[in-house]
Amino acid sequence: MTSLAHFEAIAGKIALPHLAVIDGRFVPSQSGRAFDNVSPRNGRLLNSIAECDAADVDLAVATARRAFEDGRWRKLHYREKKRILFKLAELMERDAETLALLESLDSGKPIRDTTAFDIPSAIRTLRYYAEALDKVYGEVGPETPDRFSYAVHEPLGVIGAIMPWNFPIHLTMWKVGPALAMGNSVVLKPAEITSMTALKLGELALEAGVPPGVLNVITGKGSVAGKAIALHMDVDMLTFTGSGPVGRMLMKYSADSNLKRVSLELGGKSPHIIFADCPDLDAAAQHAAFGIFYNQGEVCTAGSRLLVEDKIRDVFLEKLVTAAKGFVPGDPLEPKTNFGAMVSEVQMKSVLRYIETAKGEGAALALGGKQVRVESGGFFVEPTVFDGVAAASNLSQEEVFGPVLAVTPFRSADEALALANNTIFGLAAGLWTSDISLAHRASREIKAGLVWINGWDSCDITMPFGGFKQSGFGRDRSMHALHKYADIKSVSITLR
Amino acid sequence: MTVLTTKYPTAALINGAWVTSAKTFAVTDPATGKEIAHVPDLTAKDASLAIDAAYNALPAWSAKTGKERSIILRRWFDLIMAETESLAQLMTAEQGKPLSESRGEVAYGASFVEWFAEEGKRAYGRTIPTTVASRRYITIKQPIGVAAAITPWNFPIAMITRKVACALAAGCTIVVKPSEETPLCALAVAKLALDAGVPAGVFNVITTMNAPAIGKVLCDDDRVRKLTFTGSTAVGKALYRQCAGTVKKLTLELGGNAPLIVFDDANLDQAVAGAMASKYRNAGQTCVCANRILVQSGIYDRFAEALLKAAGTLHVAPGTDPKSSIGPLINAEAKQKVEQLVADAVAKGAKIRTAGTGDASGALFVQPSVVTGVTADMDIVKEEIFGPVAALMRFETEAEAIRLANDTPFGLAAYLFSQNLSRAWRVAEGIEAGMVGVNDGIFSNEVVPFGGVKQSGLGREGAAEGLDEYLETKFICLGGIS
Repeated sequence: MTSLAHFEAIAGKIALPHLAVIDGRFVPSQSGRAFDNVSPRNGRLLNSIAECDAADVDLAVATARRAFEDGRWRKLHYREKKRILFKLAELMERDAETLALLESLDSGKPIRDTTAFDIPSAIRTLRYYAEALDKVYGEVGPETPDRFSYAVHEPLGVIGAIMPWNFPIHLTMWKVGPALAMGNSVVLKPAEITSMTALKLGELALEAGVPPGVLNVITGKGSVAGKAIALHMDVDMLTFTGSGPVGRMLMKYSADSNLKRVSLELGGKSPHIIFADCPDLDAAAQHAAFGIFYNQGEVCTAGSRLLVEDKIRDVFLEKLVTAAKGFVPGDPLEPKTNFGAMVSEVQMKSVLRYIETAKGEGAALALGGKQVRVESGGFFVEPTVFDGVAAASNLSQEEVFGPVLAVTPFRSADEALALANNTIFGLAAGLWTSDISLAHRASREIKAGLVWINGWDSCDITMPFGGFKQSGFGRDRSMHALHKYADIKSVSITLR
Repeated sequence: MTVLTTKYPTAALINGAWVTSAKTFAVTDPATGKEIAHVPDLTAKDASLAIDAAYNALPAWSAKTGKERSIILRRWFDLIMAETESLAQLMTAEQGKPLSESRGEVAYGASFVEWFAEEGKRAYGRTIPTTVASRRYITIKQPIGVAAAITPWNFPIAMITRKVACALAAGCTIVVKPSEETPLCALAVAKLALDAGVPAGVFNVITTMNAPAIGKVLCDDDRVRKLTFTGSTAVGKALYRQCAGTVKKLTLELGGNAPLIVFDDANLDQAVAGAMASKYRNAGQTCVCANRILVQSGIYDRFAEALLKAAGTLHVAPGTDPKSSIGPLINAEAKQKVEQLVADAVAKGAKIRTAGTGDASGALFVQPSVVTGVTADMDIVKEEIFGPVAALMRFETEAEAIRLANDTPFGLAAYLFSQNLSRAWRVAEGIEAGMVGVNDGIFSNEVVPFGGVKQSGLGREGAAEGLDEYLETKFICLGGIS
């Protein structure tokens, strides 16, 4: 049944969510305004979605606050919270095909990926935090004769979650999962152009039994609705994944309002280093291609800078180009497609501009470089590789957020590490070597929150995720993320 | 030596008082066979008195805050370090190891005192999320109570401090029975503990020739809540049985049969340096010494030659000789055992080549050697050699190396040498041992957990895990919260 025709048929039948979720109700914006939601697959209008503004945000925050203070979720027995979150996971499994389809239609991601990765991953994440919610231990201070002290983790209150468009449901669950598990209320604002799975999640959460007001979904523009959340005096924390410029604004908004906590997962220009003693050049080439071309390169951890030791440069580049050719732009709803559309026309044009700039900077185009599938009406850019990219160039320094790889050769380990760290970012890094000492030395010297040795993107929900330097601060995933949505309270009892 | 035996006590320590007895035993210098001191040969009755003292001192010591205990322990550390040279001389005199190694051990032993002085302040319990709204769950950490320690002769100071500093930091009091071969170092550090302000009865030392009788008292007395022992597996098993009667908590650091695996893809220089450090340190008398050196076929001959060449730099001499790197073995039985193991191996087809300079003619000296062509049927790979003899076995595949490494009831230390990142992880995870050195021949220190799996023992010493061995977890349920 998995065919293009099958998915097109369902796409024609399912209801596309378009109403905000506030206080357990599905509502249009108070202003009555809605924005056009275009599918990047063919450039056609999918639906019109509630365009919320500050008034809607006020309502959502007020209801989230009420829910938090009256304890309808926070004070619920942990077994009950766990049961409800597991129920939500079951409902997501039940509706997995719909969720996958909504995600592909909205974002241009291949249905193959949303089916095999985005939806199952979001479900796994939710289960991980549901399982963990009764395992948040506090500390009891060392014994003193006349005092008893302990420190406990308590939920923060109302969490504003502002999400990006590249992995809409997958990244949403990295934040909503632990925030809810900790007992908080959430106001979730998906990226305007990929709102549908967040709305579906809000609907399923209610069906699962998450009390009204605990998970609210506000759709609309970042510059309006997102800003209103960030400036709100009654939001306790902003958790954000997205661009550096927006991250900076959120910090300013926090400072201008109530000093709400801010957790930022921002961009990257992640180096992927191939040393000549790489244990498996074919595997490394496959991973290097995957690292930049998976999800059309719209990945914050994309391995967008490939640093190759000079003596294997030619042989590796050949293998890499071969691997890159395995990523073939196609209709996201065609189950064989492994490389979909860019998320929007704006994003496509931005990527094409970076490509033109790189050509102007003298880098050698080794593969791709063009918009393709123009006739579809969608927004497609082919996998693109530039060789001999200078370290100071635009392409080496700026996050393209598209399928454009910058290859730079190096001669020594020291040079490779210097190149790797020659960036304002510090999200991820990968390296391939058989040298046990080099692997350990490099992993220490590279300034990045994630270091993958001999396998790109090789860890999961059990390990913390987040950046060094201007890639942000705070961690998603693992038990660290649960603690992020809590404050620590020290209680001391003097014994009299 | 007279200088040192006037500087440091030759009497036992019970309840803060130096105790003598009519019956004594001699402590000898293994390099010369000469007597250097006599110490009291105490009895079961004395051991009971020591337990009384520790038991009576417990309430006040355990009631002190971690910080108060820390201040005293820190002072003890400073005193030990200030007397490094004289303690090292005392150690070489009674134990035989080269002075340079003795100095190293004083610093190593003191490091436990410093570290536990600091870590003792961090005995945190937990709050646990409640299952019922009207309750709160918490755990607290409390000192176990009176501890007893039975310590070996191969590290006369470090094996005392590793146990005593940890017990004291946790708020326990302790009775120590040091090896009859090396009681002087135990008494010396106990004196410094008193000087540092450790109150009477908190730290007691029983010297005796009658280990079984004293051991029985320590095991049978219900007031002793914890026994910690470093020594042979046979004695450890006996203590384990004896402690059943009072259900004591146990830490046992027993024998090992450490494999040191050299793969074809090892850095040869690194592997040789690691094998030298692991094998010949303390004349081979440590429980983590490489007992079986497993070498892959492709590098076997080169490794054997390089190891033999490196062993050629060893110099056999009394520990007081500045050139000494191999001192005497601890006693005649130890030497006899080494000779028997080598004879058995040679009779079954192994080849022995001696190495090194110096004079091994003294009664307890053994010339370092490398034994090649060792096979699994030889006693030398089944028993702890505890001497400067490197036994080399050949293997072909990684799977075979892991199988050979694990083919022992012991599981204390293991070493592997490989430059292959994936192999290093696979083998480190595959070996059944409490500690694995990758491309390194010495790894023991105060911040990491030391201990074995399988019949090499129970529990860990050093690190946060070590402190936990002297703490009980008490769960408190606070109910009726409305």
